[in-house]
Amino acid sequence: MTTRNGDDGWAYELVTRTLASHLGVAPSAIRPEQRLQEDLGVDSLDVIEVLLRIEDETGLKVAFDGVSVLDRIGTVAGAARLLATTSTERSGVDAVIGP
Amino acid sequence: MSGGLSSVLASFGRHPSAPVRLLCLPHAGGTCAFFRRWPALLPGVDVLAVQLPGRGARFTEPAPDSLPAAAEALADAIEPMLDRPYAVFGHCLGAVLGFEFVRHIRRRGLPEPVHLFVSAAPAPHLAPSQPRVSDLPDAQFRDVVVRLGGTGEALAANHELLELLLPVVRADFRLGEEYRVGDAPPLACPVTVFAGDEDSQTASGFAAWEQHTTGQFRLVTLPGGHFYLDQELPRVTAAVRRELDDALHRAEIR
Repeated sequence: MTTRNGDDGWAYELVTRTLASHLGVAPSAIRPEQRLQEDLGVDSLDVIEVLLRIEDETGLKVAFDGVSVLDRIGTVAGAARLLATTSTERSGVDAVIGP
Repeated sequence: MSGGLSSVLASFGRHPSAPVRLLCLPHAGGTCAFFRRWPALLPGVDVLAVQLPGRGARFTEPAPDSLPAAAEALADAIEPMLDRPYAVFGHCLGAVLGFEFVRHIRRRGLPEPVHLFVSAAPAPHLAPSQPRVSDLPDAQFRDVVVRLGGTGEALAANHELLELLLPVVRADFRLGEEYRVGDAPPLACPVTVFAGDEDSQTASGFAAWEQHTTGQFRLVTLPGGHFYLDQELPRVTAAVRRELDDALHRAEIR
């Protein structure tokens, strides 16, 4: 599992921005250690909507399959990690290739 | 049930200095996130959205053996929060869990809630209106969950993601299907039942809750099916608000 330059910052920024818009809050109100369900009230359906929206906006493709993603993501940082480590770009040089 | 209050209760919605608390219990397969929109609609209420074992931060905790066992574990965790007036709201399986929770609390000699709100659940003493589904093979069980609406319906097109949710839903359904209400005197707290007018359960099943309280009883029917709450939430929280205000008022003049 590799990410470009080992840096997941782009994914975190993307998840935070999209999640904030989904929830109608400021991105600054969201922190990496926050638990999606218990701290933000975000359920699996919300997570899917957020990830699908990121796919639409970026051309990235998140690989859900084979991973018990929904509950194990756990936190905002976990969602960013999922995006960083499993998403692939359909074309372009900034691709982050998953396993 | 292991884990302290911080894993049992959502942190969103907490308002610890509020004069009244509302314990919120989700449906089969549901999580505390089901109640995300409630705090904004209930200012001045300490919303305690419960996370049951097996999901979210409690993902590794095993499902409870029975509904009464789940109610007892919940009572262990929640007891410190019963130091001020509180009410209980449960949707579907959460409503029956809430009822068992109140019975359990009463056995401990602790005060009943100022109100029990029951949503989309037939009275617990009635024979099930549909055949047992928790033992169905995956494909058929999935169809049942999708037909119910809510998250299952929304995920119908995404089989992989729906598969991930099904084990928790199945375990919850089993709790409901194996539950038999025990003998106990009726509760004293007022009970309000909310139900969708297109829910597959008959109106008489909802009305039959009346025998479980010696207090005031109301049945509120709203447009919609089993997940009528998705559309009717503001009306439900407004009705909850009125009952909580009445209860606080009664406590003040006493």
